[in-house]
Amino acid sequence: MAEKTVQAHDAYSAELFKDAEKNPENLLVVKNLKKYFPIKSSFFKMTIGNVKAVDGVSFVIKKGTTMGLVGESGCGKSTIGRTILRLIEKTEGEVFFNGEDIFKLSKAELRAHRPNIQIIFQDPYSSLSPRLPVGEIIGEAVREHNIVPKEEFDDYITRVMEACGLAEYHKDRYPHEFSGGQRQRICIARALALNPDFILCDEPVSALDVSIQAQIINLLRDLQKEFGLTYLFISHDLSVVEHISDTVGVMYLGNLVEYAETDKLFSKPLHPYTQALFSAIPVPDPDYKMNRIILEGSIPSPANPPSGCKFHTRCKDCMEICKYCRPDFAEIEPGHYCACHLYNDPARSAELSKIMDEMKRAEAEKAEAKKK
Amino acid sequence: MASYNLNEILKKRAALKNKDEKKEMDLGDTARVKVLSPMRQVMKRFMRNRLAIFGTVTLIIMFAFAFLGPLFYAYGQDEVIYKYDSMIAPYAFVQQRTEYTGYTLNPEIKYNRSAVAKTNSNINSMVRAGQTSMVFQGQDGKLYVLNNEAESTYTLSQGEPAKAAAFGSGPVKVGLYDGVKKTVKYEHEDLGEAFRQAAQDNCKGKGGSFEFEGKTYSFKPGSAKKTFDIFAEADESFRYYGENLGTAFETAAQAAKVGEIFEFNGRKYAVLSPEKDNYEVHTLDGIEPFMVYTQYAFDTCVTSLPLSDSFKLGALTAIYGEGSFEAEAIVNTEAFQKELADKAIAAQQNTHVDVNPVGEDEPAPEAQDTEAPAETGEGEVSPEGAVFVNARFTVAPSAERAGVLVISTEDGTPYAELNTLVARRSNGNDTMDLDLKHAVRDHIMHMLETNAQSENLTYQIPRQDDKGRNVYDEEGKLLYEESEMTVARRTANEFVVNAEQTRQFIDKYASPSSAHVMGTDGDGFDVLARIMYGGRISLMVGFVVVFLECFLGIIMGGLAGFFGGWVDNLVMRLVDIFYCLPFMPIMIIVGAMMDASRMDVYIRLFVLMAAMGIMGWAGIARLVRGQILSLREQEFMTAAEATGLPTTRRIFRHLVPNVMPQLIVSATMGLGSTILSESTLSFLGLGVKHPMATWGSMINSVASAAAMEQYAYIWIPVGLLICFTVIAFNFVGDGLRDAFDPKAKR
Repeated sequence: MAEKTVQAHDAYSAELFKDAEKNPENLLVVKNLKKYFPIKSSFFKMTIGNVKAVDGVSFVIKKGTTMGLVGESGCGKSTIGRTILRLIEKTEGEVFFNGEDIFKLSKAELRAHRPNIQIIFQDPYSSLSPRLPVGEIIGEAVREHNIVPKEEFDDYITRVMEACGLAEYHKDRYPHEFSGGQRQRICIARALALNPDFILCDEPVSALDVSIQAQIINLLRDLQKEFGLTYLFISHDLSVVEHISDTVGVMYLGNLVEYAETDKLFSKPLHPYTQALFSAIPVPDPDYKMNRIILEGSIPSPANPPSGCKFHTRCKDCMEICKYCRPDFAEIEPGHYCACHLYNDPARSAELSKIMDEMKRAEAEKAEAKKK
Repeated sequence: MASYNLNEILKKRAALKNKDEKKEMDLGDTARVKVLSPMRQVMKRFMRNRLAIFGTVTLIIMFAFAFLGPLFYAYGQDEVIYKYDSMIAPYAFVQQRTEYTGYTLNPEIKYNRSAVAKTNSNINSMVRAGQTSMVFQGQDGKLYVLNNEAESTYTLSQGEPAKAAAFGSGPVKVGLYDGVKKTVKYEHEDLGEAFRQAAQDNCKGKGGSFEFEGKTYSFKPGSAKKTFDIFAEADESFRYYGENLGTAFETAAQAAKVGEIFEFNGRKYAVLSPEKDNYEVHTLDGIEPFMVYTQYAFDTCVTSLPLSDSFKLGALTAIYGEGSFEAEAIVNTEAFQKELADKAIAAQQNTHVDVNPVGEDEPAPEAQDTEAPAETGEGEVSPEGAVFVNARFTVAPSAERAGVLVISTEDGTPYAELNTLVARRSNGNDTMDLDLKHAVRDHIMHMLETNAQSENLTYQIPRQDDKGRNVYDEEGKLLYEESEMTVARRTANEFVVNAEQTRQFIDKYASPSSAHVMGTDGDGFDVLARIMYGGRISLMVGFVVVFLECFLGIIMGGLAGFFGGWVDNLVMRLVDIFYCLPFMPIMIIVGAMMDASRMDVYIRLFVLMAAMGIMGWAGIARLVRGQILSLREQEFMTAAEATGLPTTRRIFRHLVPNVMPQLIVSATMGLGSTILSESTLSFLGLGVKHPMATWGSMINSVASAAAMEQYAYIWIPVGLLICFTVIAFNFVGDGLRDAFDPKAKR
């Protein structure tokens, strides 16, 4: 029965961004992406369950824009990022980059394609090989992919470094000689040097102190302005996301619950989870009376998520239907998507109540059978 | 590719910027700070560690000592060291000849080998029986006559058998019946076809008998298969094969012993007995001497004078003949003597030149290594160029010494002697003075008379230097010096002349001296040289084994760590198995197997290294696998993948360099233990084999308690070297580990 709702949900999602990849303005189109990690039994290595890290996510990023992805720890933000880069394989769904399905690329094609999508990691300490000098770290892949002619290689690396706020003499130094901010610049330079269209920033500033955060964020913005880069900015720091993003997606337990332009979302969050999340943004004003929404309980396990709406266990506006049916990720207002039964249109509501009734009946029968 | 060209944009920007501003540096600029690469930082930290520096210096010295030392050291690892020492040694051997030596008189006569080979025993039996001559039939059917011509001299003659008569009481052989060809070969007279038919009819393949013309004949198996001797029944009468010589002859023949010669009417006859109780009488008219046998040996008056064959034969035949002979000989003895002396000088000079060849690196001739110079030299000169001329000599018994024949030239000067008491130098050469021979002979005769066991004499023999070589004066003449000699009896007819001589010895267990700083060992090898070569082996084994271990370990551990999954599982189970194998028992088995197959020492060394390497890779594999497993999950590996680097590059540029520090430390530590293992194996005799030197086997060579106490100068330095090397490797390994780990306190 639960399968049926999922199927209905998937069918609906498929309609959502239909043919979005054909629009050349859309650099990245993610459709119903799922990534399950199997749980193996300890002895026979049988799959006994799945951790549903990403459970049907769809969104579109336009060229030259930044999408922020926010959510609690463990909600699947980074998994989405790595799946988009195909550093891990998907379970289901499609990812289109420039209209090309990256999951259909062969290994060699993928390797040639890699420079187009780059990643900046959260921890600048572990993401740089400790035994290579900085120039080599930045230039290694440039040479491998023949980004620039050989004779311009050195100058190019220097210029990229300068563009990222590093000096030429840093080239021969080793990562351990740099501060965290400088290291993150090295990471950015490494990504930038490959001439990418899209950079996945996987919490690039969360390991840095606030002043450095600002430097890095501004650097990223400057680079975007200058080179027209597209970012997917993963963070759990809402103020940073608000600052840098054009659109924002909010995730909860493997699902995108709300997705809209930054202004719209921050001014008028629709989803109860988003509302709760945004109410926690600190305001630097001692006289401001904060109206916090405190969520009850803790985030459920992604291996065994609640039925229906995954948020219903903690939702202040929980309805009966939330316990049975998964809400559709629907465009409530133009460009504002939300997955919540509060905003269902009547036709879809009726459809869903039917399914819910069926499920209730089935449950009752089951309970009776148990009694006997 | 990307929708923009970063390179072009950056170029433009740089062009603009260069116009605007000029780059300035301030004092605090980090560009001025000298920055070290991780490897150089490690070096710097390593250099601060005193123990590590001590270890490094020790190792450098050890390497120079083991690998460069032998290049500058005079002795090899298996070069036997000799020393010269004076000792009482046999100078000459003297033998009373009992054997007879044959000289061929007439080379044209073909003889039966076994007939000649029996001569010595035939002579012995003749002497025992008191006979002066002996007649026998050889296997070739010919008659041989051995005749005592004079004292210690016999001739052997040969001739066709000429049967004159036969007698005896045994059955008479008539002929030989061939059972295959059905023919009869008759001994004397042909009995005709009828007899042959009768023999064929009656021969049943065994013995048996048949009647023919009133006589009884019997078969006996013959010498060949299916042949039968036919014997007629005994005929008591005296049968002549030719002229009837009458009863006087018959009486003489029957009185004569078998094999003895008797004369009748001026002709010589001999009685032979081919069958028991059957006798044949042969005439000895046609026999001719072809060998002469003698106990005498030639001693020339001039030492080492060569004698021609014709001289020898002439002298021997003259003993029993007319007493004089003509032969080719070197008679101008004075000129010859001078020639001899000249040649001796030349030879001596040549040998001097050969010992130290100028500009050439030829190895010295083998004879010099193995044979003591005292044994050679002393006028050993080839007689080339000596002139042989015809001369006349006489042979007569010596007036002074019994049993000696003197051969003199026509003017009566003695030229040579024939002697049954043969004296030769201990190396078998005839290089003794005749006077010395005479003196020795006189003493022996005296000893035989008095039944003494030994007697002393003093005589001038060539002086020897401290290397046992003969000493010459400026003119090239041998210098002589008085020497006490002892003649001693060895067996009934063998004597030995002992004298003090300088001889070459293997210098065993020599104490340390200026020539051999650490002395020599039980094989006469220089200990210092062996320590150097042993160090080579030990260090080489250490490095090769560790290299092999690392090679296998990195490959196996790398595979397991990088690919994980079932590969990891498989490799790690293999590692577990190798961890379970006991090292020593397996090495002992390998050593025993190599012993059994008698492997070449070098191949053995390689097998040993391979075996040790294969036994040791598991630890390294485990280390590498663990490291790679943790490194693989690091973000820089993900980043490398995201930048699209190929797998090989990711492994070799990003993974391996990060494993190196731990690997280097563990390999350096492993070197010490490998050297110890090798030493242990060699000490147990399972590693590298003699004469190849290793430290372990050197200690083994003095392993008994007594030897350890007595020859401490052999094992203590070796033990210290092993100790120092292992400690040095451990210090270096410790130093490296501390240097690689920035968190270490030091």
